[in-house]
Amino acid sequence: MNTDLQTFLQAWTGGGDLSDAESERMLLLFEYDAAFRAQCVEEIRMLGLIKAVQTPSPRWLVLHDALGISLAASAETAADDLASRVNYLVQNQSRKNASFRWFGWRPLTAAAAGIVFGMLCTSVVFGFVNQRAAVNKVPLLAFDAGLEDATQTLKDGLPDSLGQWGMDDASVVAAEGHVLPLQGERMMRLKPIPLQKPVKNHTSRAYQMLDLRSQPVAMMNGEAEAEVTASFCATNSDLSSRYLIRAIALDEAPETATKNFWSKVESDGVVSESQRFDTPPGTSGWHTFSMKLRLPPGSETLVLIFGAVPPEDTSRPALVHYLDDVQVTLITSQPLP
Amino acid sequence: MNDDKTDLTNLLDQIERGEADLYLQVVRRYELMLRGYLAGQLYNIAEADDLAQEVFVTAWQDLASFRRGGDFGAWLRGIARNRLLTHFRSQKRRANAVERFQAEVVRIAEQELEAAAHHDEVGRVERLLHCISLLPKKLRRVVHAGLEGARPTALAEELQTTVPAIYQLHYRANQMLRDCMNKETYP
Repeated sequence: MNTDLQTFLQAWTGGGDLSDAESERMLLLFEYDAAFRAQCVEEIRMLGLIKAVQTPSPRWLVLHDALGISLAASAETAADDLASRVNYLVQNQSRKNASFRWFGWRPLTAAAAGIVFGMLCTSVVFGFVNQRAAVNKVPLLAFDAGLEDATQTLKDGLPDSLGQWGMDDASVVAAEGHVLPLQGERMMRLKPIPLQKPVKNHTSRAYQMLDLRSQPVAMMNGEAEAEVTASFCATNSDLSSRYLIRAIALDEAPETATKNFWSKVESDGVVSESQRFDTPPGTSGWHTFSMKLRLPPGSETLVLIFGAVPPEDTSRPALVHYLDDVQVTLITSQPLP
Repeated sequence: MNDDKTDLTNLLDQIERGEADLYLQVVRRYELMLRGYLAGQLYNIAEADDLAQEVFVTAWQDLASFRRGGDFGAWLRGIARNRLLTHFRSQKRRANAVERFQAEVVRIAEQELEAAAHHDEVGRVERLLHCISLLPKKLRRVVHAGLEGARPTALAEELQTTVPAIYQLHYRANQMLRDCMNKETYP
């Protein structure tokens, strides 16, 4: 990249304090140098596309008004589309493998097949098929505003409806200080819970609930696993941090799943998996962690918990942490039809 | 592509017979392409999305004028170009330096921008997200953050590098993404 192209992009993105004379020079170059113009067009087009695919789809309120249909009705249609698209992906897997050239090597081992059904911090849902060691992700529909909706209300405690984030003490924020969201424009800020607060657990947690009924878990004949991935970042990387990811599968519909939740979790019938992850002092930036949960047949709801665990040494300051880029993948070891 | 056109024609016929909700399927099919096209001229995604919505509303109102079997994406972009020009004209007096610069860029390169967008058929734009996920971690970080406003400066601090290096990384990422989008097939 030459300096003129960089200067042009700075002027176009508002990324630099360019003088009027410099902007004027860039425009003249852009107008009269066809090769430079072609280069600039390629770059700004790609920047625009990247922006669009990484930003949640709007809700099209005015359009819904113009069409005379309600948002709720169209959400149902979108869900139907998603289901049929997933089926399409699964049914066409063998054809796709034959034509998929991105991975130029031969399949070596029988591996997992999976369908990603939620990216909670961005809006885009992936259909994700991973078979015979070759990975193929295909973006599907936008269905969830995740953390990008600045106006959303976070529920205190566990969520009681789908699409809602619950939290103990958290808020959705844009970039803060030197911490930039890992995905999109916003991230979850997990505030430390003061030790004086009379609660049983001082881990600052965020909660999310997913409806498994619309996913092809049943097609996987009890061989399904959910893989949960989340990224965390601390305000002070000089200190170690400890994070938690927990996934809980319930054979109850989402409408009632979080009622008397903790007593259900303690009972034998609920499948739950929890993992803690440590970052040593001096490791700055975002850290991405994953864990898996085997989904028993009949699972209808998946509750996810993401937490920043307070330091064991109570004399140490508790840090603010951030959560972003949460993804959930359904995986099965069975060959696809 | 012919199958797509047949599908679209069938869909449009059904919409014309009164099934208005099916228009949302058309919106879902073309929204990434259209939002990307507009964001490639404004870079402000909120404004691009507002304009995209206006375009879809106008297209809905004028659906009868779309020639069946034609290029629906190009037709939408035609409406979008008119909307963009109106937008830039209405902003003229209060526009800041960046918006004035963007308006000039669109004025000068209107045809090139349209020609470039012509290749962005529906599946190709969708592939971009997958291609981003394949980038090396550092490049992915730069792409996720974007180049808007003061972001390159903040990112340079985070990655302990310089602002020109961030632009350079993004440039490299864009090249890899273009390669990936051209190579990869889509069902």
